Amino acid sequence: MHITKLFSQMICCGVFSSISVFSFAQEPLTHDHLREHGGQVYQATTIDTGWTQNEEGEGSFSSELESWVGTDENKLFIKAHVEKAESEDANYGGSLLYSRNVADYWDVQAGVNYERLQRKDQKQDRWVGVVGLHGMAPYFFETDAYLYAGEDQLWKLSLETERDLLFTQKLIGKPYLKADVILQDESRYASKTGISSLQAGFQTRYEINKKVMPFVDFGYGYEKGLKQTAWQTGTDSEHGWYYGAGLTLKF
Amino acid sequence: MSHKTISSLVAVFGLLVSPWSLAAIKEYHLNINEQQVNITGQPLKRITVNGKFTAPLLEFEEGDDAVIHVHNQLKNQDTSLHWHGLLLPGLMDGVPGFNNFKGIAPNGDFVYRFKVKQNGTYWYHAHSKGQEQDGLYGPLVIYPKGKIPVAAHEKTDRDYVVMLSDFHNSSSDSIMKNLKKSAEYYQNSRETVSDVWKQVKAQGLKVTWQDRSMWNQMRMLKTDMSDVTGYTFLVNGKTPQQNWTGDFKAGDKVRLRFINASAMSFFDVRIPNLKMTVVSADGQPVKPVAIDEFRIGTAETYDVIVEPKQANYQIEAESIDRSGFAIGTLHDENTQSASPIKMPQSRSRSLLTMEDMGMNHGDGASDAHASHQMNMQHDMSAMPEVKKEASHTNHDHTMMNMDHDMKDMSSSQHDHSMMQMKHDMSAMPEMKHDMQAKTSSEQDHSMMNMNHEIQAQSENKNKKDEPVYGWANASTPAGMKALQYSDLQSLTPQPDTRAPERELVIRLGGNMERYIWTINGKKFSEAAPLQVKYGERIRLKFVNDSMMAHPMHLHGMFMQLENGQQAENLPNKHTVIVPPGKTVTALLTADALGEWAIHCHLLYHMSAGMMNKLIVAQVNDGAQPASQVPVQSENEKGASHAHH
Repeated sequence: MHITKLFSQMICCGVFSSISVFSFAQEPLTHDHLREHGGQVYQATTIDTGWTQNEEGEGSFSSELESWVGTDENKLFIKAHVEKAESEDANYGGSLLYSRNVADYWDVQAGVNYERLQRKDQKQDRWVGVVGLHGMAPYFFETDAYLYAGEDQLWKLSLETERDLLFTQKLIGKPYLKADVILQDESRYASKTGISSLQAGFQTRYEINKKVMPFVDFGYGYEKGLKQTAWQTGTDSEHGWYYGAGLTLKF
Repeated sequence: MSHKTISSLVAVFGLLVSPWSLAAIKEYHLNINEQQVNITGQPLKRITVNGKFTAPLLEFEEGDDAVIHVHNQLKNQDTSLHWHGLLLPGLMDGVPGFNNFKGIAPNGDFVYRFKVKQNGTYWYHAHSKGQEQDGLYGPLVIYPKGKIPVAAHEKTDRDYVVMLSDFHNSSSDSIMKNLKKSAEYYQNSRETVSDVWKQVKAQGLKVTWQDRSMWNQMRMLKTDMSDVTGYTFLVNGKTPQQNWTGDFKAGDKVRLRFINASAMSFFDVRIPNLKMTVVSADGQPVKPVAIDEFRIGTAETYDVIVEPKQANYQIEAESIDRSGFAIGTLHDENTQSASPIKMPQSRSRSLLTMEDMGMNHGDGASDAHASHQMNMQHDMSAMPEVKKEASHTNHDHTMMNMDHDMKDMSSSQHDHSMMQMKHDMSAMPEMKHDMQAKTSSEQDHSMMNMNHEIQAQSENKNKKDEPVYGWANASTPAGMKALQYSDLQSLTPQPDTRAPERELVIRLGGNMERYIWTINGKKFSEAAPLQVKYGERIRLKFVNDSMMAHPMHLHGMFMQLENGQQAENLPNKHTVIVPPGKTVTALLTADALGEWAIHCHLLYHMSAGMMNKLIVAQVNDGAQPASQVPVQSENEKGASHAHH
């Protein structure tokens, strides 16, 4: 509920700021000149879609969307993802986050996250709360770090960081690191606690323009495996190389 | 008394009271509309004035009563026109939200009425959203009364406006949106892995790492000379291929009124084989300065006089990011028609240095000395021929009175700045001997010369790939004179030479990653106005904490740029370039009541927030400045009725 409050506050802020500007002028301006110098609302959306294969030749399809809308100070982030491994059902989920600028390069974000797992005939939905940091660390590392807490006593940390490495103005490498750390998870289909997954990879994209960017990707991945529960048998950790290709769209 | 007598009395009274009623009324009608224009081969919807792209030349004589009827025929868009550099009542200044000016609604009209109190080269443009980039800009020239030149040396046979601008195939709206999606959206000459590799090979891993790590920690790019690329540069609305041409006869003296009406571009301007004499800066006459080239910041103007002898000359204005040229031609009308333009070879693009970060302070122990050194470097990189004298005598002759704030310089930053010097040196192994031979105090000076040496070399070898360093480095060929701010002296003595009563610090900041630009840490949308007492004499101290140059423009009043000249000779400026990492000061006599915009004239910096309101208000003896600005200032009497 706190989240909804934040959102409504944000909307109110927007409304009030425009009202206060109107009240300055004797007649209302047909447009708000103050907002045109730093108070504007902008948006950006990125969609990454790709096909990845591991060393065993098992393929999986994944697609990710990240979209934000808002001012420099207050933004709404929408994140969504879907993954489907060959001969398995799709998992999907997403987050809705309020993002507040707190320092030059950093936003604090808070919101909700929904994940849906499909295991044979069973499905598992889970709603959790998210807080985290989004921004750019020194050395141009784009960084997202979140703490998830919610249903089934889930406590999870996630970290994603990446930076660009220019071969040319259009051919751009991107080393990246993604890690999930599960502190606790009492759900039916939980993963083992500890560093449950880790990916270190290198994506290379070609910017046909700033909107369409095909890429290739390779990296090394690690999964700690599934926890033994009443609903699933535990599995051992797996690790190995993976490679893939895909397309990034920005608009 | 009959009605006739009364009315004639009223008329006589009117004549006596209003000293202008004898002056000529100069009237214009400007219809602002949206139309298809084709500049780059692609038909695009852009803003036209009276059907023209770019807006037509407006001409006045000093003393005229200007009456300009503006009709907004844009659909669903407010508009406004601002008369850039003109001294006029606040309401007529044309900035929405200032002095109760509310913009001009779609299908609405506004009549600008003001007394023309000055002469010179100015321009006009929209002050609403990005309409300026979309075509709403044009030249405005005010001749001295009776067109009598202000000085004998200003007598010319021909008089041309040379308005430089930048045209983009994307609308201003989408450019701003793209910059907000990614500030690197238009950065297409960033350094690549191979540049890093070259540096490693030339200077070793350690130096490279130290150099790069600084930039990386600051999250800044050395290559950020301009935020937007992809421009086609225009002269009087014409592309280089369309080749704007000004005719002359052999023996003519020609006045060229250069206006930088671009949205985002600085230019280095030259006319190969033709010496130029600068006679006016920002519309205000200056003592003549003979030069070979000059750098013109966004929104600045310079008038030069030339005496062409050849049949043809090419006017070349190269953008400082070296992405292109605005080109025009001067042509002797008694010779065969001009040959098509030759696209000149572009000069090397400069890389920003630690100095541009405001960190190259040399010996941090003596502040004053350090700032002088920086000035010298600045001067020298563009003034090779005075290099020798400069390094010894220029100490008192600082270019812009740059007293840097040393307080926020940590010792680690000094280390870095020293390191940067090392970096420069190692790029020049053949110089090392000289360096070592010198005493430590001299060493600073020779290091300051390094930039110049490198630059001169690259010029000689004509190697385009060789990097040149420093924002101010225009790669001026050896022996050529580039105009410096320090060369400008007012032609007529300044009426007010009082020392400033106080200093108003204006810190220019930016966050390139998020494309946020601020004054004193605040965007216009969140800033409190700056308050100045009517009649007060203040110093505006522009401190540039960012990595980009900002052409800072003040509406309504001229600033006197503190450029090292005597108080009575300081030049008037409406726009002052504040180079990256530098401090520039200007004096201001607050003699115009009202609310005046003060902002960076890079359009998208202003849109992102780099703007504030400077309020000049009457103060009741020692009390707080009146919170409510008098809308009816002395200037505005008789003007406000024009507001429908």
